[in-house]
Amino acid sequence: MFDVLFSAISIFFTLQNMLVVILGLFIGITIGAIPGLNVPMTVALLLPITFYMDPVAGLSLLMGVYKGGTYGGSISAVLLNTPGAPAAAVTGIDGYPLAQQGKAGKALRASIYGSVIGEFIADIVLISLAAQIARVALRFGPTEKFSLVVFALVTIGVVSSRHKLKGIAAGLLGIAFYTVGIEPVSAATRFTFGIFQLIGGVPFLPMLIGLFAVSEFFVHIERKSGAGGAETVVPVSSRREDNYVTWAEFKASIRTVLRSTAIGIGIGALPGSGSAISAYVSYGAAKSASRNPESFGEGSLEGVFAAETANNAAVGGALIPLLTLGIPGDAITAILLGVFLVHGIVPGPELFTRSADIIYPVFVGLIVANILHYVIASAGLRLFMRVIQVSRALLFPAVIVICVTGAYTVSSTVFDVYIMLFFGILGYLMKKFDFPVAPLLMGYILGSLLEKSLVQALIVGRGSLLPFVTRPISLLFLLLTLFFVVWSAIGHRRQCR
Amino acid sequence: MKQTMVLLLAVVVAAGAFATGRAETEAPEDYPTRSIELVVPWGAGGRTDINARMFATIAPSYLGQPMVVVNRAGGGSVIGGQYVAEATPDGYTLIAITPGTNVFPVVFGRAPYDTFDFTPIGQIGSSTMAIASRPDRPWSSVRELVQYARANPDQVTYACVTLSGPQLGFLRWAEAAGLEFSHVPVGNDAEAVEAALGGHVDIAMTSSVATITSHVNTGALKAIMVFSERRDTAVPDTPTATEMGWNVVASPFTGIAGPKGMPEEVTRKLREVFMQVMEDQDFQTLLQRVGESFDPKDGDEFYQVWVNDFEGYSGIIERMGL
Repeated sequence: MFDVLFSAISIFFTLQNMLVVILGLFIGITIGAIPGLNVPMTVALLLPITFYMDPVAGLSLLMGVYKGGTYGGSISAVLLNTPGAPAAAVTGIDGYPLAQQGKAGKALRASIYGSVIGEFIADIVLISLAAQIARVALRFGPTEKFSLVVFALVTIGVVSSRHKLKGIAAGLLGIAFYTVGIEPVSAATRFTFGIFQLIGGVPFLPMLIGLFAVSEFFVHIERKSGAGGAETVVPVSSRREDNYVTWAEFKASIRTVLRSTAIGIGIGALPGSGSAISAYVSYGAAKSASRNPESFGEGSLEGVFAAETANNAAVGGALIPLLTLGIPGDAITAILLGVFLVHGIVPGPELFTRSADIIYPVFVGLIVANILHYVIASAGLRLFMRVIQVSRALLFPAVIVICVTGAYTVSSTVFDVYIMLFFGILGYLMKKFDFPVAPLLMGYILGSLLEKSLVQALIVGRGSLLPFVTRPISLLFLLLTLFFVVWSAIGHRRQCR
Repeated sequence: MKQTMVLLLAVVVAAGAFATGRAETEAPEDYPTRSIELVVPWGAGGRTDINARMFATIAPSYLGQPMVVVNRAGGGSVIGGQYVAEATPDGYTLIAITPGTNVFPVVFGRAPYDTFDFTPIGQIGSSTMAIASRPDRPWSSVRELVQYARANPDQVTYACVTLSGPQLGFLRWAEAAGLEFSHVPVGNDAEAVEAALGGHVDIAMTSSVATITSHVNTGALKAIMVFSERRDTAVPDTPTATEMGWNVVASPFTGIAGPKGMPEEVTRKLREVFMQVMEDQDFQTLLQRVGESFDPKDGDEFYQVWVNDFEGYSGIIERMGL
């Protein structure tokens, strides 16, 4: 074991490898931070370049982009309330209120610490326990996944603090949008209204851009701008304690960080779940366990920690089924699978015996990337803080140009730009009438898993509902769901008194 | 609110400006004089996308012009298909084509174009579809599977994407063997493998044997049968459907095509370059690594593949009433 490790370290530490990791992180953070540009596409564009790199360098580059991009999404979520990546939508719930209080620096630092710690622990778990976790993940069949999704859906109600019903309504609306397109069982098309562009469903990224970035643009236009619209998006406090995370604050969040890491790794390791769900569930769990749940949604540092730690831990989690089973769980890991294959490495059970000379140096690269991630993100923080000091009359038009371009380039159709606008208006109206937007996104993501796993479970179980309660893992999640519902009902009643 | 509307309008107009293309005239014998757009009708990172990007990496050295990969995904690849089918047939818009674009949507009546609205340039490869089971299932060969399935009709579950190449291939075989199975819909090949590995379904039917090879090598899965013309070198002990006596050959192709009605000079030039790329050592190495079974066919042979696929799949859809 140790000689493998030492040789891996000596293979990894070359100037080229160090440079590509730095480059990857830099690209990832930047792309992640800009609403409208997305990480999966960046990874795909970099793919041909890696054809001609040695495998360790090529993989390190893309892993750097993956890690950086997952964190980068939180920067715009905190500063502009426009998450650059789906998982960062949860970070914005508390990050943006913090920024509005002038504590953008504090929120961003919390997000760096959370990301780096979550990532680091997840990578260690990946390296040491991947095979065991993959074995557990395989036990999640359709029945178990269905119960897990039900559990995740319930957290929507918990997360939407002030407006439980509105949050649930937004979640249901998201599920409704998911149903557009080809239905999984008979492949019949539904709710496309004869628009064949909708056969593949409502395009996800244009929806995301519209819902979060474009809607925020409309909100800002509406606000009467005094003094020629010269004021900035959020104020920045000059007090030191508003720009740093104090040790006491960090200590108070340690439990949340560790719990979120575990949730991130666990959900990330289930193919098809992904970092957005893990961020949501972890946020819900943090809120339920917190001593002051009422601060969630109003600028709770714990909330930022919960979301960011989980979504970055999910990156390490998602690599588990990819590397041990050859099964990619999301768009980015699907591309990474291609990169492995292009270099003649087959992810799967034989990876560690047949390609040890490559995979262990890549692991070293992951750990090194964590350290560099911290350095680069901290350095970049000053730069990003500058961005919000630009007048919003200049900033938002620039953002909207990138959004239109981003929505268009996903599949190079103007139709997607219209979709973006549609969701921009919808998001604007939701914000105006106090409906939280993030649950809609969750409903959309979970809807697909919900329907697929229910249909599969019923077919495999020959129409019986019993397996949902006789299979232990499934039962566990259903009981947890019940617990959450009762818990939040009691909490609600106490508040009313 | 009024301001909002004005801005909205501005954005719409700006978006519309994207749609305007360029119009140039030039002699077909000079082709190509500028960069060529290779449309991938699927998202970035999938099998078709990776193949296309490999092709676009090697082709420029034979074309003398760059080739740009553009993902025009959506509508189950119909959007990209329509874009190319309706593009000016000047050779500057090509498509990385699979049956998912010009065969399946057409036979389901879901495409605004026809299978033969494209000019075949050449086939790069065809993947070997395979069925695999966990070794703890009560069969270890296709003969035993047939016996078991005959004794327990509709009880054996198989996972694959609904009405995809794998399912249509599987149904063609099930029909030929006179068997009934229970279909579990999944989102992609990887999910089918996952469900079979976890023991949640009995059979995984995947579009490429590459998705199961390492599990077969470690004994976690057993490859029962392949649907290609010949046995696949990745699983040399697994029989083909044809050698077991069923006349079913179904191998999803990947290739390059253009719109219908391209000038003859342009088509000839493209087919020539295509075959040069196929002989390129770098290209072959890249392709083999991703597990694509390299099976180059020239334009005319490729056309014949489309004809066979179109007839084979139209037939099964009619008979099964899908």
